[in-house]
Amino acid sequence: MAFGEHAEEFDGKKVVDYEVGMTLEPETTNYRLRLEYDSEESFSELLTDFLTAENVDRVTGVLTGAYSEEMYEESMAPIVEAVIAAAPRLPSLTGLFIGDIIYEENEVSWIQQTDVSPVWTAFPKLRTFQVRGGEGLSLGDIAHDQLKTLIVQTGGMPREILQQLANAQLPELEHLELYLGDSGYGWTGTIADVEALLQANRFPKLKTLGLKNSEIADDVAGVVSVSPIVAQLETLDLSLGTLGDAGAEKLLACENVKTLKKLDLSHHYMSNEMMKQVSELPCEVNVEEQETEEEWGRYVSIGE
Amino acid sequence: MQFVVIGNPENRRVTLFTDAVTRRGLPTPIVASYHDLLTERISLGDVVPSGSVIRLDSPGENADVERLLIQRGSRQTDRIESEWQPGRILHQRRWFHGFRSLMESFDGVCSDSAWMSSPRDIPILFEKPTCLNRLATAGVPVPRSLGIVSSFEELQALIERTDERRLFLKQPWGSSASGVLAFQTNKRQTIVTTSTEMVSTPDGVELYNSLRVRRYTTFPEIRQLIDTLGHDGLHVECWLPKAGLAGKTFDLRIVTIAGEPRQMVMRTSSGPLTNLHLGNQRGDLALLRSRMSEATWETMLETCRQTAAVFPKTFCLGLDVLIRPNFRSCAIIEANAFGDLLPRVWDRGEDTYTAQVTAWQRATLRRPSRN
Repeated sequence: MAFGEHAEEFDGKKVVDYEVGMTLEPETTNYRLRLEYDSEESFSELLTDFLTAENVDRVTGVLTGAYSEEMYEESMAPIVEAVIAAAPRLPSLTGLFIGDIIYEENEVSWIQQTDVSPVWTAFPKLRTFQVRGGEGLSLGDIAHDQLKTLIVQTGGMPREILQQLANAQLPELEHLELYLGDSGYGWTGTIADVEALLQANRFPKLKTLGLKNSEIADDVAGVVSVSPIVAQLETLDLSLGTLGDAGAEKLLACENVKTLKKLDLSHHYMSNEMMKQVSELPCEVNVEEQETEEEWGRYVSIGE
Repeated sequence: MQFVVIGNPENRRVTLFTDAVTRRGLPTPIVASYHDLLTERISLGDVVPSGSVIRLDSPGENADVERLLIQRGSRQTDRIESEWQPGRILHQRRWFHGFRSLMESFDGVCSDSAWMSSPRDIPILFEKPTCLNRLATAGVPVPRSLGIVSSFEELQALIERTDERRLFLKQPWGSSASGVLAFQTNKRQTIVTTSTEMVSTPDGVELYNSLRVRRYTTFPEIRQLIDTLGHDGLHVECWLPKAGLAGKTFDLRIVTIAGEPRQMVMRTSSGPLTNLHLGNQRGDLALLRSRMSEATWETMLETCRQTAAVFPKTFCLGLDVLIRPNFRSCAIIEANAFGDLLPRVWDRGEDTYTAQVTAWQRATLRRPSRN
């Protein structure tokens, strides 16, 4: 899974890269703090300037991005610490994205994440929290009584994240989106970890569940389809993974799937016949991006 | 106005240009084929009528011509006959020497005709390090060049010395992503993304241009790949991050004609290689324009003009333009001599070929002394 673009919108507002000296417009805009390649300034200079800008106390959304030219080696810990330390200057914060870093800047599996759990207490108004990069990531003891949206994007998710989520206290959570990924890029979980998370169901208000980008998508579909959690969902998203006919069969056999409003299975390995069957489910079904085992030719250089 | 095209007659480039000329009511262009020129079945002086306009087009996509160019640049013809096959990456250096020698043979020939592109400029455009250096000297923003390596060991030393860990490695004379490696390393892992396919044979590894983009992640594979490609040298550039839009990263192919940026295509990709023949898609230019400020857009066009001005004797260039992730600045990553094959892309109602014909006619009207 390659993350190709920076967020253009986050937590309900458009996103702009903050530049030193910029006038803040917190009513319409959320701000991303990132260093452009070859940038002269440091992340801490950028952050300091941002935190002392007029109206920063009214900013509702902050995203952190590229923070160093050696970020594939340097941990994000100082960045997270600095953002946590800035909490008193960001009293209106409802949206936080740690690691809005695209493939062209750093491989997702090389993002050196850290323990982000201080976020839970530092930002009591948080509604949306997103984090990218699984290496070194910890969500700690998750407890927040406002959070509605949680998105964890990894090339491969450490199983500890699923275990932490299975113990989470997130009574208001409506949207949970997890990129499970690939064992070659850090996925250390098993289907039992996914099953345990679903069974724990710590999210009474959950409406959207995404278990995406999984190399065991058929198994994931299997445990989801027998989990009572589906009954409360409006959207189920098993996209970007390796879902094939076996997993789709399980979904078709699940009564609760029929009450969904939306089922996203895009990027999959289902047969044409199976695509037709799932498309007939009484909800909006996305079966775009059928992947196939292709024969690949060679080319003679075009000579430009 | 009689046009003469030097090209591969079966190639759609030649047909598209010929169609553009005849649609303008001009005489059908004479085609001088690379094959016939290289085998000396014809000589340029004999086929070009006095006062013609000569267009040089790509010798690519023709296995025979590629082989003939390699032979021309080589002294070991026998070995080439046995080893060479279409799609194989081999003898790039010899290919370039053959191509340059052919271009040099045109120099001073047909002096009473006009060359749309100078046979002197074209080899420079094909030699990536030289081209990049010229652009950098002229103040055009380009990726930083770190020189040429010939082995994995040399590359490792270069990385240690420069501390640059995200690099593009390119064959100095390659085109269309042939032998291009997007290389990134941290202390624990290395990933190479490329369209180059390695095939092991009893005689060693053979490299091919594959339509499938691969990722090499193991040390022995990467070492073998770089050692093999490095035989003819690999030019090392810093990997400038590209912006992303609608979930994909992208760059732009912008064709300059008579120094002006004209037709453009956005090439979007889920990986670092954006070439459209590698399964990538054209992107939504209107969306991009809405994402960039008017001032940044104008700066980008000005950068294209600045680039074209470095090669004033080359009427048409295909520039690969990178937009930085902040959408506020750009860089030129390649300047292609034959980068005008953009079917179904129009600017002011003209495709790239029609635009060249009409722009040439206009330029000739302004300079009546020119043939």
